[in-house]
Amino acid sequence: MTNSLKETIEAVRKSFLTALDSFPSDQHEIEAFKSTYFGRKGELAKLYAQMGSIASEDRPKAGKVINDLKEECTRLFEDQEKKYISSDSTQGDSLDYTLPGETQRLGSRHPISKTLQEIKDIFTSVGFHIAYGPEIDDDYHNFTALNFPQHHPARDMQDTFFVQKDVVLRTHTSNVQIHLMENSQPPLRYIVPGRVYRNEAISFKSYCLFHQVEALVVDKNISFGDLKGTLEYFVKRVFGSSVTMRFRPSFFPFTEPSAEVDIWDEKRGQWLEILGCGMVDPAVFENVGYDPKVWHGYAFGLGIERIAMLKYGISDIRLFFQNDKRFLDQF
Amino acid sequence: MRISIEWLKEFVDLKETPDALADMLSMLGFESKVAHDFSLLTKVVVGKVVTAKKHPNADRLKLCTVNDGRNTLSVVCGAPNVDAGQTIVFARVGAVLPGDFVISKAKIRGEESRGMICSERELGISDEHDGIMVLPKTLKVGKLIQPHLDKMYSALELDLTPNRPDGFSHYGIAREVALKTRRKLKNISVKTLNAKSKDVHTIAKVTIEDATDCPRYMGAVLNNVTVGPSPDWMIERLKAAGQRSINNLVDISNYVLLEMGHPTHIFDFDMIPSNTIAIRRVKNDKTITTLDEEKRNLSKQQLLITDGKKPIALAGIMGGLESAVQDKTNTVFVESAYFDPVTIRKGSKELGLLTEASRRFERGADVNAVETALWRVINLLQEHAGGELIPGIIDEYPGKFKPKSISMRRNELDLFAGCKISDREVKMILNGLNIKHEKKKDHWKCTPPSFRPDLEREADLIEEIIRVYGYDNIPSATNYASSYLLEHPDPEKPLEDLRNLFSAFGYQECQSNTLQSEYWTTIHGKKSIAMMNPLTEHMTHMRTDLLPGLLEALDFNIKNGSPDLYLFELGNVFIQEKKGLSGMKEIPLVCGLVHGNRVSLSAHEQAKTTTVFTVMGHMDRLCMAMDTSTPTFEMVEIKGYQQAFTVCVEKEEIGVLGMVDPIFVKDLGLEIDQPVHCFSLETNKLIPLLTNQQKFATINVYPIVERDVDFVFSEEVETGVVSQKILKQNYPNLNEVFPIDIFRHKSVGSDHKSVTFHFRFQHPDKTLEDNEVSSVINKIKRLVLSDFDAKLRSSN
Repeated sequence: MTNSLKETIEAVRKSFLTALDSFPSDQHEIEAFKSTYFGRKGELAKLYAQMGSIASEDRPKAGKVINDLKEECTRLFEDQEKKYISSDSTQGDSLDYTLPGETQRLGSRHPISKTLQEIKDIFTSVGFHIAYGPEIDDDYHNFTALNFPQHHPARDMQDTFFVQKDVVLRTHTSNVQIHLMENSQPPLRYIVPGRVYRNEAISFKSYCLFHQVEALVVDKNISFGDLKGTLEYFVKRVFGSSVTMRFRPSFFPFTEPSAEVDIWDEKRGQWLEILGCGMVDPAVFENVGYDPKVWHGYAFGLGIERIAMLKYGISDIRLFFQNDKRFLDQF
Repeated sequence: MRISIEWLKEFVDLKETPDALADMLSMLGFESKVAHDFSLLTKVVVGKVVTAKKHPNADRLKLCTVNDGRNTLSVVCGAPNVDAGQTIVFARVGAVLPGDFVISKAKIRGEESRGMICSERELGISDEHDGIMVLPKTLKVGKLIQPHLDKMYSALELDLTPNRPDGFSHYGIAREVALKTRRKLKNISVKTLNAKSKDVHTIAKVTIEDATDCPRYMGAVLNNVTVGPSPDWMIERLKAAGQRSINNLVDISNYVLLEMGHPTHIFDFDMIPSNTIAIRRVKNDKTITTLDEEKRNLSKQQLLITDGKKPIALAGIMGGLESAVQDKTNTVFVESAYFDPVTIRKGSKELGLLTEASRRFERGADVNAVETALWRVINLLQEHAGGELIPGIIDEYPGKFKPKSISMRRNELDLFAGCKISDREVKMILNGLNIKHEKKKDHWKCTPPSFRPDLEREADLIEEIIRVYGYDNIPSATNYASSYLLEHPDPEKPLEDLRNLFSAFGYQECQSNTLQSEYWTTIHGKKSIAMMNPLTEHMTHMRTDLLPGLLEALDFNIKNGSPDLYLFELGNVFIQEKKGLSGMKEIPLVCGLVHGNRVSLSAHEQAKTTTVFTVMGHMDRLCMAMDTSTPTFEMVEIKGYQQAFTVCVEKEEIGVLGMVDPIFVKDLGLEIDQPVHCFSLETNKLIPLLTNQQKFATINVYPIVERDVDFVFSEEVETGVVSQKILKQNYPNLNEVFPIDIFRHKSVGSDHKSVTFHFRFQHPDKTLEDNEVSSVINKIKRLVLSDFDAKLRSSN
């Protein structure tokens, strides 16, 4: 075997090994790589072509060297090619069905908007409209018109953020009651959802803001019995028909009689307050120019967070506003 | 307010357990819970201190032996008042005290201690921890302590509503129990000797400047009082009601306050040499030092008790230090008055000083209790402080209380209740409430008692009837559904659709705090709205943008191991556009952001990161869902964005999107290293689009013909412009054009790119022939080649 053939064979091997270091990942380029070495006009074919020009006694030996090289190159190439192919999970005959499915992105609704949606559905199904109103309002609509006299301890019931002397962040969505009645004539049948603010220290049970749904019904013959019936329907729709509830007398300046509604928590063995309600105080009707001798009504207000906390078993109200993915993922 | 059950029993018979009583009061509108549960003290007994010596190794400890009824045990005790012979509360080894405190055997400074002698605080009775609790010697050593504690200290914790000042006393609560259980309410009896004598007027003089501020002021003078400890029964009752004993004089005033709810004040009369009590507003007075040794600045708002010249007390709020009773006090002036609720409220608010007295006056005291309270204090001072009354009492009463008569109509009561409550029932309830009444043909003529200032109108009386009758006894109506017109019950229904849409795109809905720092809300020069009384320095202003809240949520989640996020929020932002309330604008926005990977790395595919096109794609889909034209994006410069585009739909700008400026993120104090892409849309502009009535369009059943053409463009040519140009020509049957591949290679030429456009053709009523498509394709090629200086790649 001539030295020159030996050198040529060695050169091909070196070139192949170098090329192998930067093995392509594109199917087309792999094909190109393959034909460069193994093709009909490839490097290996060229080596075989040189066989004719060497002495016949040298041919078997040279043939063996070239064959060995071809075998080596083929094995290395196939190893590389396999790596490429095996990275595609759906290729090949032996599909691994135990692989996890492809990841899909899953969005979610916030538990507050989800719970609100449920509340809205319940009330619209029994004939309520939905109204919205401003988060910043004057003292008159948030307090005075709702029969919170200017210098009365009832004002202490709700810690208030003031923007100006007579402008507040609404402490309840009841301000919309007044706007509604100022701008329309009875009968009315509304729920009013929205964000409300309280200037209270933040803890697991209170946050500086929360969401409320308030309801107002005004008509000629509305009784405390109507209020009870509506709220019993609502509570049973949300918490199930086996829930035990009670109406406990309470005080709100804009309703009279006023009540708080408790549901019985079997696990903790105690009553849990879920909402406040009452018959619209005649003073409120007078403030908006409705004749309290003709019109009667009821109102109630509930905290969406409170309902969501009971429904989902959430014990810390701050979780609603932290936007922790580990929390949001659960809804 | 804490109500002692033992004290309550003085006025009404009680058979109920504390739990049942709490329930009864709750259902009467006085939210109550049981204050203590002594039944957990299973290993706590009455013990006797046999010996008490100094601890050999500690100066402040004592080494005692205690007889617990079974054994005599060695116990180390740190209380200074422990002494041999005392009957005490002994917690045996193994006892569990409130707060899950378990008593175990211990060695303290080398001496064995087998149990504990308890203080009141350790038993949860009071805050008293200066010494151990000493029991009456009559208790039998070795018996469980629970029955004794139950008897003495069982109490209810009441959460009172502001409309019921009468609930602020044991007598007031007893009245409600008597009313509900229909048992007899016992009277508070006072001895009124020599009431008509004029003697006191030679010693003290009272003047009232304004009858509105102070309608009634009564006083009495007692000589020779001795200041000292109160009787045990009074100390125990005060303790059970959560009040600490000070001395007999102070305790007597407090006792009457808790008993009947009327605040009184005792002055050291020797400290008022003018012998004058003048009630007036602040004039030139600057300050007063109150009982609690605080110097307080005065304003015109304050009502004062003066000695004719200088202030000696803040009327209805707190006494002054100078005229306060001291150990050597000998002559006292007892004040019992009625002050105007609004005056007291304003004064107390302005000083930021809420006291037991002001709390009661601002809710409305009982003008007729003034006299009883005065005599009650006088009697107790005579009995327990040796006081000798100067005959007679002072009663200045310029603002006579006139009982008001209210008519309660039968039909209005029926309408409110929704059921009929019988005349007999109504009569019984009115009697129980001390409301004088007369039954007329169709109404009751009622006169409420002076201790119920909240009963002013017919509605107030109806509430009382229904409350006492029992809310649970009112039948619930079942016709709660209505047939009001309900075409569009929810004006924000489109926003629900929007929420569903974004969560379908993979976004998670957030709710962030509206209250942020001034810096966050003004960072881009917006005029934000400030709180006058912010909760913290980080929550002084209303948000002017939803993005910072979402970025904060993103930062939080990255730090907690979730960097791949799509977040969105719907909510209001607030801008002060002009002065005043009318200039405060509430703008509803929907804002979203994407960060990290869109597709995460898996066995199936490589990770793919989010880009601005992720957000643009969502805008496309949003428009598709709204059935509007596809959105167009125009590059603009916006503060806070590194790269920003306006989003236009149906020729209207509905918002912006882009890549958040990393400097903005840093300025907010957040640490987010990867790019964030976001959008912010104006909800009010989306609502009409979302409310579009979508109409069904006939489905085109003829086959779609697809063609691809490769063009080579110079780099600066924008593919969107090319697509738009082609579409504008309105070529027959061409429905869609979009790029599907961009290829850069030296074979294409430097500064050039090869773009494959995909074309979709469809005829509405027939199958397209090949030549119909080819002729259009040729036109397109010519257009693109000439207008964009492009080449065809195949001919390259």
